[in-house]
Amino acid sequence: MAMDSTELKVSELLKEVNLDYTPQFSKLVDDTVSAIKTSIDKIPNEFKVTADLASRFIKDIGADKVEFKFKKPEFIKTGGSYSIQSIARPEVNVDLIIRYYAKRCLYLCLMKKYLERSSSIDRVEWSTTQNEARKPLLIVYPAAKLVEVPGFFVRIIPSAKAIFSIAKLNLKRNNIHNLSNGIDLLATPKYNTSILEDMFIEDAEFMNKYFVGWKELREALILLKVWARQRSSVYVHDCLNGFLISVILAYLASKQHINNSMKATEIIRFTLNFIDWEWGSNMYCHDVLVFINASGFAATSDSWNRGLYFPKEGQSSITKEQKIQLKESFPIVICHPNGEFNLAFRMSRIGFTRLQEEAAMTLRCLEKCRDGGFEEVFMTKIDYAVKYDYCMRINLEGKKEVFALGFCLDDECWRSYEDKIHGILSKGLNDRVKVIQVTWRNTQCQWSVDDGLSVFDKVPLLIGVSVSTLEKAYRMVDIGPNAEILTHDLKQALEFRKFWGEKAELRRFKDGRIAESTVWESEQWARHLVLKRIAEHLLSRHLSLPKENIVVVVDQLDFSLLHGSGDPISHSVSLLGAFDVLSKRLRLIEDLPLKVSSVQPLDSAFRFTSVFPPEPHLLANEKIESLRLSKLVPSCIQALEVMIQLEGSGNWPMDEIAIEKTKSSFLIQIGVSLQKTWGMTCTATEDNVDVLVSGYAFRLKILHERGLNLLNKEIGVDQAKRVPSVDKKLFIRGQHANMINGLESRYPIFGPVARLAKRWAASHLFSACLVEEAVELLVAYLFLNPLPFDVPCSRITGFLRFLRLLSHYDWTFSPLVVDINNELSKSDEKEINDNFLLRRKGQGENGQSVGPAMFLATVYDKESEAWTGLSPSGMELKRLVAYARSSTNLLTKLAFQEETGPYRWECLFRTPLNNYDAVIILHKDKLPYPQRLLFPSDVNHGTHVAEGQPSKCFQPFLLPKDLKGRPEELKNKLLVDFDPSKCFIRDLKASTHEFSSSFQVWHDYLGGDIIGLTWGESFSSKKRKHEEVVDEEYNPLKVLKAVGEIGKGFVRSVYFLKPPRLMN
Amino acid sequence: MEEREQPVVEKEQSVVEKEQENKIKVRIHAAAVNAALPSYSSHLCRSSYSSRPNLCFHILSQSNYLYIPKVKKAKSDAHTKEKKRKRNRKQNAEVETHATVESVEVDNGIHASDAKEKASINKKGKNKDKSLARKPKPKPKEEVDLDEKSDGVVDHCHSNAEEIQDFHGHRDSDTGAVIKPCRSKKDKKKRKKEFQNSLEKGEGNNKQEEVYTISSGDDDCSKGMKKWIMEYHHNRPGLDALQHQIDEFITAHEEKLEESIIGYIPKETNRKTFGFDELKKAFHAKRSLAVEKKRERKEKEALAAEGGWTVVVHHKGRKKTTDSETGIAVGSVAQAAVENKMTKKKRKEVGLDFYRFQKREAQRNEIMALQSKFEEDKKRLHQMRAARKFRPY
Repeated sequence: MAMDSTELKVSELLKEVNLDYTPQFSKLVDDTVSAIKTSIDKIPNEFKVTADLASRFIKDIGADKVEFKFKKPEFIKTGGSYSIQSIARPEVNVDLIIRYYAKRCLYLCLMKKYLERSSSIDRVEWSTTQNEARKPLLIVYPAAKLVEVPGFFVRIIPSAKAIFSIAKLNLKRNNIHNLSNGIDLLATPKYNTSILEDMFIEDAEFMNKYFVGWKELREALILLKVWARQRSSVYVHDCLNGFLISVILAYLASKQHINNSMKATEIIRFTLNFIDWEWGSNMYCHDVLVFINASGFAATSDSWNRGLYFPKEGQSSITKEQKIQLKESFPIVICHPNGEFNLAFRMSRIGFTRLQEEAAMTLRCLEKCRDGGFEEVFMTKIDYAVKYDYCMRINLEGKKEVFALGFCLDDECWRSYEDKIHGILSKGLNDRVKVIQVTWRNTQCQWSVDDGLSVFDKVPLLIGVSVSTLEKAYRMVDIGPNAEILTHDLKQALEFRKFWGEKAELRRFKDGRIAESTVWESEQWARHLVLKRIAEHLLSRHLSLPKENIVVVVDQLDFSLLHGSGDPISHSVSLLGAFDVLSKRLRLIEDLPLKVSSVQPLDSAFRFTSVFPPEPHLLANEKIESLRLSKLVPSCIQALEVMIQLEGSGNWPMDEIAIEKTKSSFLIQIGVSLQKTWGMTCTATEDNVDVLVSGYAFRLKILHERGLNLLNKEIGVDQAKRVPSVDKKLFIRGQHANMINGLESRYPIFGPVARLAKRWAASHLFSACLVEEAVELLVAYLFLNPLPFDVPCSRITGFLRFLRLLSHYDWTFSPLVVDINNELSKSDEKEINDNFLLRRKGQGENGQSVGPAMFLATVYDKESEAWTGLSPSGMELKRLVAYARSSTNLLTKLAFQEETGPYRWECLFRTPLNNYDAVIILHKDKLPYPQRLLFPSDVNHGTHVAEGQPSKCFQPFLLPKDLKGRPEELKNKLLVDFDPSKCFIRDLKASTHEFSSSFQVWHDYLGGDIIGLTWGESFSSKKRKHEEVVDEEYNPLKVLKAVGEIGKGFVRSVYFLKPPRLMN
Repeated sequence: MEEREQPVVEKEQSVVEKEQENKIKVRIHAAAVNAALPSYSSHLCRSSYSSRPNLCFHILSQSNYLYIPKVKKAKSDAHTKEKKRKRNRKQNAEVETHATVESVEVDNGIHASDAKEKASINKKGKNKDKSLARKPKPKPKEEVDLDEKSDGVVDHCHSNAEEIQDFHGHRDSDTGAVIKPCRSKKDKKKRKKEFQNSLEKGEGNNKQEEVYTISSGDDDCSKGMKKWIMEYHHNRPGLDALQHQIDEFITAHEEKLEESIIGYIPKETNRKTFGFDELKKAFHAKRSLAVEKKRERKEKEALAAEGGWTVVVHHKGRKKTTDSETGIAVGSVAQAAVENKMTKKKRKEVGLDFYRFQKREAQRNEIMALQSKFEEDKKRLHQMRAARKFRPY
């Protein structure tokens, strides 16, 4: 049944991408083709063509004899996927193959001239064959447009049947003369094959025959095209294209590996298996294979090694020598049945490895993912930015070295340059990386043959790097060959030095070895930059590029996490030290009726996922050392929650209020004892006890096991919303802290990604609807369910995937299950699903927007009540998704393109203020941690309703004169966990009932200087009830003034943007 | 000068707090206290903050200068008039504060003072006046001032109102500098107009269109920053006082509980007590027992050791999970261990398909479940199709 739902989805997908070959469409195609034919017919025969038509192209390509007399093509036919009815949207085009007689490019130039005169043709553009600049082709847009096929065009692909002798194009021969420097001529197999391609392209009957009349095979082809197009690592010039996919399918059909009884999805699975066969880790697909095709498969096991040859037909056969020659010249061979022509001549070894890897990954998706991996296989766009851990962009515009040896050798200069960069990086990065992809899609810009070939450097070259393991990628020392004692070493050492330049140095290592090495000294928090530094060094050294032409996407978002020039995460070590001290002392307390049995950290700072872990505070030490005035001393300190458990006892009271009071009582006793024994400072309120240890403030909480089962009385009549007891909440938080802590130690990059994600959610004012823990779970999901990618190994990639998860996940129909330690059994999963359905059912009756819309289930919380029990609501989630989507797009764009303004990366954390109904701006120097503020906000639209004076009674930093006095007095000036924003929001919420209209508060818990307000729903319903009464009260400005009054001394100004919606 | 004052202020405050403590016996929430004693707390804040040093005042004025919103620029002429008038007044009324401010500046030297800043201070002073004028209940001594100022204020709000009307009518794009309305959508315009009308109907004209000034609230502790700071300090009376409060609360709670129980259950003699003292005793009893036991065991061990025996001790307590030097977690979450555990975990219970009826039932259940899932899937598919979820581009 699960399979069935996948089948259903696949058929839906096919409906979307399949083209209806309606009479209208056929007519459009026929009309266009005949229009092209008539224009070509108008070209006079024996017309003398000279190089003037495209002089620069001719010059760049290095051709000599360039005059010919025009002869009309006798052969014009439609080819490509249109002929076998397997066009996959959105790229709707028809290939028109036209046989040319001489000088491909000039032939096309002349044709273009005449085509442009035709009234039924809208415009004609230049393009290239598979990113190969020396093989231009024409793209013809017909004047007639069909709504169903937007952007339809006809590609004119020149072919040449018999102008060259095949013998001359033998793989071992050289056909490029001008670069011979006296030494023996190198064979030019790629160039030769490229010409052969023109000669053989007409002849596609050998494969087309399989597709005609075999619906499943056509469907499989379309689906595989969709699959490949989603993957920019596969659908590139040195790997796969639509044509090659159909060739592979035709090959499998010709060998009868796939047969008529198979469904399209089975064909796909088989094809992927076939591609993946040699890939090391393919045990998991064994059973499937055996099931599908037990007999035929053994034969294919090493076909890729030998090359793919279609079965013999008629007289054509390929000799053994030819096969060996092909194998020697190309890494991958798929031979055209009619001769010595390798259809896969553009495919590189690296490209094929990527293809295999992608196939393996896809098979894993098919097996492991929900709903047969439909979403992951067909619907997920896997581009550079989201796939690779490090993306680099090299701007090579105007760089002459690229084509110093000429544009077109055997390979084109740009392809050789790709190889060169790949070589440098894979040598330099070594085992730090798993995959490096270097792609220069240089012919994608609009061009014309008149521009010549030197214009192809406008598009930047892209490099994607997948990290092998973080440990290796973060390594600071690379050890090279031994010091030059032996001549053998000498050679290696010299080479090492030549490669690394001034970065190479001799070092003595612990084992006594003296060796060449490179050292990338770096602080702990900045280790992710090691790889970037290496890449920058090598690329600028070997390509003599200035640093500003190399962009490595890795640290562009770090600004949002740093304080000044350092990452506060580096204080975590001392924080954990302080925590250890505290927990030891807590355990040692003797003068307490019950001993402390366990101490567990709760705050996210302890698990490295806090956006701003606290820095040690001068006044929170046991002994206050000399207070240097060089640094600003903050007047507030964060309190980090710590959960303690006491020995069991039967003497606890039974009702919750009394339990809480007893706990407070215990905590105060603990405080007193700590103060007495160790001289630690404690400050307490009725609910909290805070202890200051080595620069940090800890807030103690007691978990009382018996309280776990206590549930507050049900609130509300129809909605059975249970409010969990204090102990239950504590318990869950403890569980969560434990789990995330475990995950963090398994994936060290989890912390930074979670921090970025939290920062993002907060800076878009989602703090009220998406709690910190929920963000952690979402990020955890990325690490636990990475498919169709590898586990992210860089913060930006992880962050991008978080945004994509948020924006793409099917929140309405699926629960998000985060199974951190793989502890959930089948029945647990079923329970979760039932809970989910139950909740959705309940919501279905009330309408979608009511109630929580995000279902996050974990081992400790199968009902999604812990973090997403109340929010985000449907409306909030919609907003979240919209924001995530636009951030995704921006981030992806930034990875590929030059940012134009100075604030581009920053825009990810700058929230647009026009999406609120009213905006409150706070005095930024009254924020408790002003250094966290990224951008001071300003509103330049809407009505300025009120402006407020700053209060004098609070400063975020202690003034120099405050720092004089005795230590005890100083400590009293330290405000533990004081946050005016929190107070303001609390007061706002508490006084909502006083206002005539309700509103929702959007804020940034990390300390932004804005608070957004949106008018709530209840306003309108209220209005409807007593129309006359409310009409008088219907005054949002009055409300906003009152809001401003609540934040006296803190609110800078209040802006009114939109009135409440008037409901019909 | 201010430094000398500071401790005095604090003393005052603490004295007041003590007084409060004596007066109020049961304090559950700070808010309740505030509500109960508004006059008291307002007195407290006035006494302590009116004499507060003016240093903060100075820094604030600086920031205030930066924050003068754009609205003000456009109405500069009205403003300057006002300014002149106010400056005169200010010179009379606030000579004293002015002097102190300047002296502080000299003292600190961190924030260099120049003419500009003085101007900002002027502005600041003026703003304060304005805010006072708009207070709902002005203090008696300022009432004289109020009359004098009122025409200035009217002047001010008049000009402002004009501008905003401009904006609503969309006549003049020059005001764009002041307010950039979202003019793009027609319906929005409409809505705004409607809204405007309704406002006029409801509230008379233009009253709400002036930029309302919120005072800093430093002399009013019912709202805002001052209140929060007060609450913060108020909630921390010290450990002893808190303990006392809690004890009292528990006693009261117990009594209440007793009263509510009395109606139903006859008075028991061995009723459980909730008081912390009792609790403590109970806990202590247990504790001393444990200590006793431990001591006994230790003695025994010592005795055994004397006889040449080595006592093997079972160590209780937490295993070490973090490296003390680096803070890195060790051991607790070894990958291999976790994976091992995972493989073990996925055990299936056996015996559920022992009887035929069980098998049959299970089969039926499965079919039912599959059916419902299929239905669910179909529904979902439908919705996904509607949402164009099948378009891969």
